[in-house]
Amino acid sequence: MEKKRTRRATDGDGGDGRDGGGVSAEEELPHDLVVEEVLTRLPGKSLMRFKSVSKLWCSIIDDTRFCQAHRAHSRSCPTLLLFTMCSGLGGVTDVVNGLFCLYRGNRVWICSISADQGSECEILTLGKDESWRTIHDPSIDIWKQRVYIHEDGDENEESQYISSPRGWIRRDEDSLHQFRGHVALIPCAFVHGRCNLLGNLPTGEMLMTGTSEEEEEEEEEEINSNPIVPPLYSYDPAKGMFAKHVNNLPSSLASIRKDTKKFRIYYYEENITPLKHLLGVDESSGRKTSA
Amino acid sequence: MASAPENEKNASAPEKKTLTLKSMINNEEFVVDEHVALQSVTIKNMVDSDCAGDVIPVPTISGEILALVIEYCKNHANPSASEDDLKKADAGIVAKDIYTLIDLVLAANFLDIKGLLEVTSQKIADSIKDLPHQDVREIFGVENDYTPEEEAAVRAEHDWAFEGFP
Repeated sequence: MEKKRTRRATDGDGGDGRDGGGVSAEEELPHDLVVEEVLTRLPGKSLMRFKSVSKLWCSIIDDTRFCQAHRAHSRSCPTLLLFTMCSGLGGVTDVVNGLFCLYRGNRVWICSISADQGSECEILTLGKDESWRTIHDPSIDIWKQRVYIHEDGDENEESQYISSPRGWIRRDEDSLHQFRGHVALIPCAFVHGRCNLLGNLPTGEMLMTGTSEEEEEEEEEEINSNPIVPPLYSYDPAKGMFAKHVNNLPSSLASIRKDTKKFRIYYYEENITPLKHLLGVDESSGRKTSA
Repeated sequence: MASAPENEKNASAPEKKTLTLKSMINNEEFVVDEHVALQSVTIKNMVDSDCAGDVIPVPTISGEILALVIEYCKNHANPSASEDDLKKADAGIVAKDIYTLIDLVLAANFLDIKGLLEVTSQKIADSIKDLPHQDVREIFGVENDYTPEEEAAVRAEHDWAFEGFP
């Protein structure tokens, strides 16, 4: 990374912003401090815009070491992301390293949240976006390049089998999900009606909603009532046992309950590393295994 | 860290050591308890190596900024302050205009006060994150070395991030 100090030119409007600043040191922030202390704390969206500040800023924001430093900061203040499906899209995977996959038929697109590269779909970042925004055209067609993203430790999931906890009767509707790095089995028997997995929360808990049969009948009148959140069991392979968790649905999310199948919630760390760096796509061979 | 004995309040504090910090910008002097000033690693190193005289000169930091720094150090030297109190106090200290914050970051960096550097940098980041890039250029004194065509091309690549910006 280039080390250069920028000083404010002593132009006429140099002191304009110092209203009431009194006797100030009139110093400019050294470039290194700007990069290490300020830029690393900015959201990815701001950084994409600030690439237009100067060529140096642009090269720094793309720099691998800066991206890593930015990620380290992002890790301490994770963001929630809420997805909705546009019609025609098959589905979306979990967010891993700031990336997710969209799939439809036998085509898969990899998308980066922070850099807004990827296939078209609408997203809303809780606490950041006022309204839904569209992610535009896919920059990489993963299927063609035979790149696959695996979640940690799940490379060979078909060959592994975890027995259900004692007393549980496995049903077809039960589902397996990744939770805190473990595999969680969510039995639909917890609720007598529908049960929907929404995603993982920053607290590390899995967010679910469910409705009982009775509730479904009253659903129209009870939009504002608290949804029933079924208890959750997660499996810890290290201890070889299931642990019970109790979740509370944040009230701000209660309104999505009516159409839960359209939404999923993810906990992610921002990752502004350009897609081509993340994937290490080799232009000549067009093939590379993912990290 | 304050390791003051319980009866300290009653004593007329003859034991309590103080240091005088002097801004070399406007010659303002501040008398502070040593354990408050020692939160600055820079000052601690000076004291530890016996380089500190009665008055410690602080170059490039104005009295106005030095007062904020000392306020921060006092708050964080108080062992009975709760985390919530400190958060509120920190928020008050950094509720300043961007140029004061820049001076404060410089001071925190020079005096090597990690917590103050972090909280002030975060405030700067929060203040600029929704600004147009032209304003950010001016704030940090960055020269625009793009040609109009180049700038338009970089912007076009991340058009989505400019939503709502002219």
